[in-house]
Amino acid sequence: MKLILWAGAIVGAIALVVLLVMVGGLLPPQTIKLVEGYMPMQLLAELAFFVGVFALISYLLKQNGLGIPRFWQGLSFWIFILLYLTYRIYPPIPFSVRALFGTVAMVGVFMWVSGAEEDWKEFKKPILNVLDAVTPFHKALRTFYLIAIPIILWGFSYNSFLPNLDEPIELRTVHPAPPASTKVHGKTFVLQTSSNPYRVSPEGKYDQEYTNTLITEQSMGRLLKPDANPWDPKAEGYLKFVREGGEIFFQNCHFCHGDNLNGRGLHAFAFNPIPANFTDPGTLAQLQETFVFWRVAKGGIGLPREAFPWASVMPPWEQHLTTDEIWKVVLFEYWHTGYYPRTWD
Amino acid sequence: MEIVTNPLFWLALLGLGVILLAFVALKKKALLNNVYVAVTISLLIAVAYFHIVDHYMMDMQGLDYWYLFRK
Amino acid sequence: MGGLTRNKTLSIMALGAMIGLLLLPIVVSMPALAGGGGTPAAGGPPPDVAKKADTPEAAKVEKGRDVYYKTEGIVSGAPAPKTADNPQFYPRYNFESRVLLWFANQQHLYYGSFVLAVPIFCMIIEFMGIISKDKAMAKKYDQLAYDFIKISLTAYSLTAILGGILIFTFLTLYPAFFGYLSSIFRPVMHIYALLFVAESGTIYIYYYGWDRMKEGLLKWIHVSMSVVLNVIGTTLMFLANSWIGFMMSPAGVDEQGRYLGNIWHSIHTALWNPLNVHRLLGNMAFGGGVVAAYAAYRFLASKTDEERAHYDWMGYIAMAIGVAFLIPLPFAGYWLMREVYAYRQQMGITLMGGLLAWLFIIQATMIGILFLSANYYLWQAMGRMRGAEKYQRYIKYMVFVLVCGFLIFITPHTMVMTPTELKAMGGQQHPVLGNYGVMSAKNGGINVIITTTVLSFIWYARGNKVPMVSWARFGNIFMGCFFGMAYINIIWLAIYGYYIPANVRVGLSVPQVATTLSCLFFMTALNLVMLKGAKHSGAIEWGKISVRSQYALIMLATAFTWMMGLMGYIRSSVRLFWHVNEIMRDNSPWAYTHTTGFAANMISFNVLFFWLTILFVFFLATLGVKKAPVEAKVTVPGRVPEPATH
Repeated sequence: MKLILWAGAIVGAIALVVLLVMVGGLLPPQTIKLVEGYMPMQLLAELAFFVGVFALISYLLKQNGLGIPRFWQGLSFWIFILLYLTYRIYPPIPFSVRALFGTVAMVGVFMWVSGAEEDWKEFKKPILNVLDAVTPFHKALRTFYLIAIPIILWGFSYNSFLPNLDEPIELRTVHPAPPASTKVHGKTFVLQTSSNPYRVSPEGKYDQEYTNTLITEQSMGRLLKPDANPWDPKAEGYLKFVREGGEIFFQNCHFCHGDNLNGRGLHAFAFNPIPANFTDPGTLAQLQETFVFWRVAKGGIGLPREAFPWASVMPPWEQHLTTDEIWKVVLFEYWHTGYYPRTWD
Repeated sequence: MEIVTNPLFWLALLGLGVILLAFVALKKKALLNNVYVAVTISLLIAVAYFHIVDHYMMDMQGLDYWYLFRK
Repeated sequence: MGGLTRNKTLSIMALGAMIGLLLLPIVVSMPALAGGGGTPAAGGPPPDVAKKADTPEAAKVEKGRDVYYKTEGIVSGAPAPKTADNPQFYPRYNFESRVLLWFANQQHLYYGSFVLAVPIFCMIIEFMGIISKDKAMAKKYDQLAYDFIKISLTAYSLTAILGGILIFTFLTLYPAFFGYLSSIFRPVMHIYALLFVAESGTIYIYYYGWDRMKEGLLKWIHVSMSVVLNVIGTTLMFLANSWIGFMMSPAGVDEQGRYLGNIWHSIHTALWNPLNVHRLLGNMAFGGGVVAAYAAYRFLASKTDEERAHYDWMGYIAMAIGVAFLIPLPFAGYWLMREVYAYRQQMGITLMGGLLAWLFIIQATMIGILFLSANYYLWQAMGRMRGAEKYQRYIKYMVFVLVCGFLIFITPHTMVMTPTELKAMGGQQHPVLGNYGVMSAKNGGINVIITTTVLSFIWYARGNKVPMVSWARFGNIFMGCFFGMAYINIIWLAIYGYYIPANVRVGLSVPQVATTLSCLFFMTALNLVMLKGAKHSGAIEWGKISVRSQYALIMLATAFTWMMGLMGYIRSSVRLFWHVNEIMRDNSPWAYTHTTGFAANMISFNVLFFWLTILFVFFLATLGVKKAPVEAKVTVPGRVPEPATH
């Protein structure tokens, strides 16, 4: 039993060292792969693993008379979380979210160290020691803080007064509420009830269930379903329309939205914000097909009032494509990303 | 696969768990607090119960809980 | 003995009679009010009216089509006024009228919900006092209920005053809109006023008759009165809800806003019932929070151990009631959102994904804070029992689970970031954290949090007890397995949601909720059975609780207040530039949506103002009786009351 505990602690310690090396910048965070599609759970699992490891190490050290004081446990765990969030996750998390996570983690650490009265007393001890200056060392420390804290605060104030050259942050409404209906090429489409005329079964009837079985499979990459290759010259019906949509996409859209539909086309980085990433579960998968149709047809210029600050340079494609072509492109986008359009019933 | 997606299978499993529990509780009382027996019965009941919840709660809304498994 | 039973029967009959009498006018008036005399629930004009339309004498009667119920009715009101931006429609000071109205409305609502919730607690606690076999305990409960109603009495008059201010604000600043609203709801407003009179009468008799009616049959009549009081109070709230329901999802009028004669249609709009349920639960949770904060304030200010013991206990009871109603609240909210989506998809998207989505992130944060505070309080409360130490070392893991659930729950779908960060990330959505931003993950997060709260409650309930039933070990293992599987099921459903189409995915929240509720009901029930005849490892030492716990209670109450202000703002501003959605346009200069920052400041101001005034109310309550601590002394210290609702 003891052996297992020690083995676990050693594995954990190694993992910790690896993480620290990543923090030091000697290893890129992608060394231990964050597997696409599993990343959210992987992240939680990794954190849970580290919590277990810390509990184990702390327990073993305590058994051997080397217990770490609560104060340092709490502080170092919080720092660990901050480092983990900053250096482990790629691409980097924006500061606003890291600040949010860091604050919640701090609250969590506080709840932990003050959960039981004994723990809280133990946690407070080093702080009170310094405040009461129980030994000459503590006294020196207290004097140091007395000088250092105002200087740090001064530093913060100074920094905040420095002129800031960054663009201001904008709260952007990415998916504004759509209008009830939209008029394209003289025809009115009611968004709640319209459907893609090309999402059809072999008999030519609208059938989402059928078309959903033919979209690409999402696992490690995107795989064609067997017998569902749109570029097969014999492909008919839905698959044929997907191919036609693909051709339109690559003639018009891929320059910005990218040949993998991930919003990183040739010109993507000339724009701010960069074009929408359709492979993200938060874009196409969240929207009705008619919403996408409306956005493609009307472009950035047709964004409604609430979509402040209308940060989109997408052309209104109704000026360049026919209604049918727009529907086919939408069809292709859903097929390629492997997402189902949202439905409300 | 097909049997797993059938709620009757899970109901049967739940029934089995309950019967086992009743049997042990009434006839072999000493076994009830045996860790292995207790864990087996508890897991049987809990797993079956939550599958039933998942199935019927989706069924109630006219949806298919086993969507992915039938595809 | 026989006399007692007879008394009980008599009192129940008295109660029934009172409720019946109370409901009679409403029942009688409803069909009479409903225009053409058709049955209100069935809707639509009665056949004879439809037939008459063909005859020449009825030809000049104009008919209109209900915007929601799609039935035809005789036009019997003026169309909604078309306002313009001028002092005739919008008289004003040199200030934004909407903010004044906002303030008046919010304060009235805070006090209103407080005085509606507290009598419900009173009723529960007084009833518990009556059925309690333990004389000392019974007295303690009775005193507590009395304390509650005492606070609410001052708040009650404040509510009325604020209501008056609100009406005057409406009349002076929005005369056109208010005129239109009152032209439709004229009979409802009168019933409302009459009910208010009835409520006042009942509450005064209830309060001042407390000592006179403390024995036997009279006591039962007294409790029945609290029931009547709550029936009136709840009806009042439902009527007021019908107005806001009408503003959000109008019915009973035609496209021009002309009243069609069926008042039931105007009351019973698409969102009326979801709003009723959500507000009722919300008020209860809010009321519990405010009373808990009052107790915490008195605890912190206490000078003797007796006082501390009393207020510790009071805070605990209030918190338990508050949290008991907090747990179903997210589900009621979910129902409301579903109905909003069903009513107008656009409205739903504006709320959850569009213009107001940022406010929902703040709301998620507040909900998380509520649950975290409640859990923290329970862990602290274990400190006052001997024998609860065995659970305290698991706190760190519970914190971890709670924090993970919380983080997922608040991760925004679209993140706030500088343009540099945006480029580094390569899109508005983060490939890892973006997954937490969608509903599937968030449902998982909140259900994990609620399940953990249930677990905390169960641990608290058995803190100082050791189950002595012969199958105790099996019970513990079963409980462990059940909770474990519940967690796995919730997380599994959250992950599963990513792999199936949206229309199937939205249904997954129901089994998730069912899982959480299964834990709540089955496990608390099992726990109660297991703890029958349990060995006490030590008494609950009331008053020996950390100061931090009391701050957690205050935090809980503040979070409730803030969230109520926020949600009210969201609900109201989703109408965008309409006074009455799609019927009457708001043409004042203030028809725009405020910035998130301004709204947050305004809400904070409202919260601050409410707490300052309610502190004054608390202070008044302490002025009245200085003998309360002496009475508290009479009670047996250290007695263990059962956790109120769990």
